[in-house]
Amino acid sequence: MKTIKNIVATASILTSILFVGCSDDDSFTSQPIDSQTEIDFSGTYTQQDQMGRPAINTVFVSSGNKDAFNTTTPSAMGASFQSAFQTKLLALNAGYTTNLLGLDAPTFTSVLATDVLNVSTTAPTTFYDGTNVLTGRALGDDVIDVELILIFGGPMAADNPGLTSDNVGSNDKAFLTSFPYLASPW
Amino acid sequence: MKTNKIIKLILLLVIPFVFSNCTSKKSNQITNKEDYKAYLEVNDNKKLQDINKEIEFWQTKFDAAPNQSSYLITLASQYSRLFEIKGSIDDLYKAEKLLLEANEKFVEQNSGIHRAIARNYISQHRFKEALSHLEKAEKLGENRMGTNKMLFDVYMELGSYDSAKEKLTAIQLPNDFDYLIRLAKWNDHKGDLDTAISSMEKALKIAENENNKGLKIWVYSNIGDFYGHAGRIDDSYKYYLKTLEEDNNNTYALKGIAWISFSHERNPEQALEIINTIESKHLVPDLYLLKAEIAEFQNNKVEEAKAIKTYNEILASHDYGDMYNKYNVLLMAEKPLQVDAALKIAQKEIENRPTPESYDLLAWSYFKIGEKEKALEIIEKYTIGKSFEPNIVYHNAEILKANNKTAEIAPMKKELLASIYELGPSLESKIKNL
Amino acid sequence: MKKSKILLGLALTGVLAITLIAADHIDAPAVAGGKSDITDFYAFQGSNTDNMVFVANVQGLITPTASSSASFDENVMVEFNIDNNGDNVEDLVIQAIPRNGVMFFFGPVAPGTAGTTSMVKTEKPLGSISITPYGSEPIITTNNGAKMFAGLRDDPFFFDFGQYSAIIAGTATSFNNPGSDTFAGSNVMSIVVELPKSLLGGTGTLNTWVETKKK
Repeated sequence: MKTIKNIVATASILTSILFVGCSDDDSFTSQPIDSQTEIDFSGTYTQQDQMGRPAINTVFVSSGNKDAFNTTTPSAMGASFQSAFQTKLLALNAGYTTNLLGLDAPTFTSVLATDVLNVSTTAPTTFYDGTNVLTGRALGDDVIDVELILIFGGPMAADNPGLTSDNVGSNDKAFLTSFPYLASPW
Repeated sequence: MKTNKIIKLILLLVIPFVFSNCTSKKSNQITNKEDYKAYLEVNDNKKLQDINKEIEFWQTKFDAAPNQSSYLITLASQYSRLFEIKGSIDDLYKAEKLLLEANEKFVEQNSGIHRAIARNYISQHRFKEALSHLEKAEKLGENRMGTNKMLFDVYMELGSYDSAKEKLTAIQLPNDFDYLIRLAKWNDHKGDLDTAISSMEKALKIAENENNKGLKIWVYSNIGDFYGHAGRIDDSYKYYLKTLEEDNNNTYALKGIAWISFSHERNPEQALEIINTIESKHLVPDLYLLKAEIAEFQNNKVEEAKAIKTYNEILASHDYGDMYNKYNVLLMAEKPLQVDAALKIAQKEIENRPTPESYDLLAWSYFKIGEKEKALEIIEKYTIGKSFEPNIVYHNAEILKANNKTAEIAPMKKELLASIYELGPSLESKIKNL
Repeated sequence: MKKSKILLGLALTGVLAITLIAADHIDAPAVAGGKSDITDFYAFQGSNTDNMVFVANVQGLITPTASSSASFDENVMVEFNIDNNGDNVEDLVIQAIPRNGVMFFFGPVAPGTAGTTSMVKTEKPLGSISITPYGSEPIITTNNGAKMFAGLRDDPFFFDFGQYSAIIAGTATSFNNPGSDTFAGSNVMSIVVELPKSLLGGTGTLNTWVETKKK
């Protein structure tokens, strides 16, 4: 078996736990302060799961399509799943005409079926803030309400009022203002 | 008696290795109490405490928001873990109840819940119901691979070997842990031990590479059994110890070591010492059958009767469904007053799963009733050459002998003599007398 | 070769001819993948607006009790995919793969072959960081202008999944007010990487997604 040799400079904090058995002893030439480590990263990795926009898989992909959806490359998703998404959309909301973004069912579902998260490199990040649409996903964005409004709310976001918000508006713990941004674990 | 001795002598000359294993005590010593003493003394089980904390966590959340049906699934998985550790059947039923409730909440549309129910039913030996839930999961589609893996398991239990083979092909991935352990099971079923072990060893490597504690514990303890079967008692012991290193409370591995002490080292006292420490942690009926067997070997009728009584009491105080059918048939078949009841249970087992293992129970019951021709008919049709389990081979040999088919016994006897470690010392003289 | 079938579990047969088979023991461990399940994906501008932050979370609903033993699967790679020319085919990937308690990062780098199989891009190391143990302050590294973190965090997702499920199942017709955050009080295994936007190519909009891939 081919062993890809890799030398990664690692932070000194890690040195004590890093060493893995390596068959090629001769490749260990020196051990600088920032220890160099050889680890076997060889092999082919096969896709198990993927995700772009939040909850889209959960809401729109039927049980029978889930395995395929999780391993279809995004560039092929639209062609494969748009019509199933449209069927699902109309099953969820039989009265769907357009939504707050003015998208009719075929247009809306063709956007959704290609499950990638669009991110702006220039605008501030928001899933939807009334002005900016899909410039990424920030931790505090109430993405579920946005999706519910777009699915159930109709062109004025006024339809199906009981279905356009789950009434959970924020996380249960405050996020950090700096890296790693996510709150400490419970 | 005399002929027996002669046979014994001949066998001693022909296969000295097997016999030296069984007779000379000192050179047989493999276990060392110092290796596992610490595990006998482990009293607190952090895993158990953690599970109870998790149950409390999820139950509190569920009580506060009973519309959160997914909490039912997390709760069920914790009760299943409790059952695995403690052997407490009520926890298995509790998990079933929670899963059925969740299944209803998800209007039977969640394939993962169907798989979880199937897994629960496999533990309960309700294989046909397990199959029906897996078929629902298959229809729903999500995680087909996972469903196919479990379908293999259930088809094997049901004796549907062609369907099992199909599923084995469907899940074939050379580097997949789940596939490799099933490949091992398949080859074991076919009687190809070498291939079974090599698949299991590959799975072991994967568990270690993944650094997955749960899988390591599983594969270490199972490979301990495999090595034991192959006569590699040293390796078997080594892997039971490795299991205990990963899981200090692993009663299964302790039981394995007790078996080595008893069957290989012929040290029933040491075996009992280990078993007595398991008793408080993992109360399952079969532990008392093991105690009974050791007592029998020690010729201690009182202890033997006591152990059987405890076994029966535990069974009577809980509903174990069909889980102990097999043991009950074998136990009852020995008692003239109960042998008809044994036959009835054996027939039920065949209804549950028409495997060679079930037909063995039927044949054995008929044999004990005195219908040796009927027994012969059954084994010729269903078990000879279809199962390589030593105890079934032993039953086959006894039934053949009773029917004066001595020629067919010789190769079986050779097999059985090589399997005495697994069969246990109590059967040794019977096998030699075949 | 010995041909006898292995008794799965202990096999004891005495004069009573009792066979003890711990039949349940061979019951395969749960097949649910679990450790490669992605629970969430985030991409947002950093506190330094020249930077972009990517977050991938796996293994949801980890309780505080389960947190001390939670770990990443060392055979699972998490791969951030970045399409910078609008064709929904990844032009760059950032890979994260754990080894012995350390998360190794590679990229951003062209994937070689786009799609559902990957090799680790060892020729483009980004850095590595010790996976933060539960209960410790986050261990962070900065290397090549990139910040990296791996370990347990509070699950940032909030959603009344229970009520949503009830609506889908037809047993409820609307959400509750207030709703109930299904993920409250639970943790996830999180990988966070922040790096200069300039390393991501493209102008204006990127299409991004995350994948888990298993060896």
